Amino acid sequence: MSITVGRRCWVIVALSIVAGWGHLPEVRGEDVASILREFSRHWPDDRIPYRTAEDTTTWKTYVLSMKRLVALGEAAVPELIAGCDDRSFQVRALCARVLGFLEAREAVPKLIKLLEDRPEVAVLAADALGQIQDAAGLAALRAARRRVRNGDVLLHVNKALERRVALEDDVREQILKISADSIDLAKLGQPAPDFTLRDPTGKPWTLSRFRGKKAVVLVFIYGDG
Amino acid sequence: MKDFEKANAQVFVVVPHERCRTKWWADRGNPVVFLADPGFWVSSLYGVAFQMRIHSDTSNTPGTFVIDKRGILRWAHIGQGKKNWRDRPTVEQTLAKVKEFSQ
Repeated sequence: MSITVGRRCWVIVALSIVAGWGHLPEVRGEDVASILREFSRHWPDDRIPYRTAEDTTTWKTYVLSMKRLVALGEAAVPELIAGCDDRSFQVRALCARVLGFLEAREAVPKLIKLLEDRPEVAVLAADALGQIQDAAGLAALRAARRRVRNGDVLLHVNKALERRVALEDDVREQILKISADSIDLAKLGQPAPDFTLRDPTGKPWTLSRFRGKKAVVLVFIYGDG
Repeated sequence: MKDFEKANAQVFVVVPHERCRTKWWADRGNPVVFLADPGFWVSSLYGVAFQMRIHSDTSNTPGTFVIDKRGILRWAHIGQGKKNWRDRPTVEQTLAKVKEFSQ
C-alpha cells in the first residue's frame, strides 16, 4: 500500500513539474526571496532610474522581476507582504506594485501602512489599494486624502479613489506575455513588434492591421493623468 | 493631427496606466488614440519601460517610433539622461520623419 502511494506521489510530482515547465519556463526554480534579492542587487536605493547612453539594460531587471513575481501568483503573496518591510525602499515599492497586480486583499493592512512610507513607496501602495477596491483600503485612501501633504502621493491617492473599479481583467494577462526573449525587440530596419492594446472605450487596436495601409507613429509617455 | 492624417499616418499614444486612467486624456478632446499599457508589456517590447522617475514613480522614458506603411520600424527617439522627460522630438520633427519614410 505504501509503495503504491509512493509511486502515485512521484507521478503527481513529475506531472506538476512538467506542467510548470510548459506554462512558465523562465520562473522555474525561482521564489520570491531570490527574485527580490536579484532585483535589489540591480536596483539599490541610490539607483537613479534614468536611461543613459552607458546604461540601456538595467531596466530589464525591473520588468522581469515584476513579471516573475506576478507569475508566481497567490502563492507569492505572504512573502510579498513580508517584502513590504524590507530595508530597501525599491523592494518595498516593487512589492506594493505586484500586490496590486495580484489584487491581494490580505495585503490591504500592510498597504495602508505603506501610505505613510516615503513617496516612492506610498504612490504604489495607493495604486495597489485602488486596484484591490477593498472597503478598508478605500477608507484609508479617503483619510489619506485629507492628511497627505506630498503632491505626488496625493495625486496617486486621488486617482485610486476616482477609478471606482478593480484591476482591469487583461492586466495580468499582458504582464504574463513579458519574457526575457520578448522585451526590447524594436530594431531599426526590422518589422515593428506587433501588439494589440485597448483604447479607453475598450476597443482593441492591432499594429499589424495597418500594414500596407498607413504609416504608424507610436508615442510612449510616462503618464501622470 | 490633420497633418499626420494628410501624411496617411495613424498616431497612437501609449500610456502605462489602465484604461480607467487613460480615459483622463481622451476625455479632454485629444484627437490621438490613447492605448492603455498598464502592465508595461508593449513599453517593454519597445524598450522604454522603467527608465524614468516621475512624480515619485518609476515609469516609461519618452519614446517616439515611426513605422512605415510596410510595417518596418524606420526611426526611433528614446529619451535619455536626468531630464529625459523633456528629451523628445517635436511634432514637426516627427511629421518630417513620417514624410521622409513615406517616399
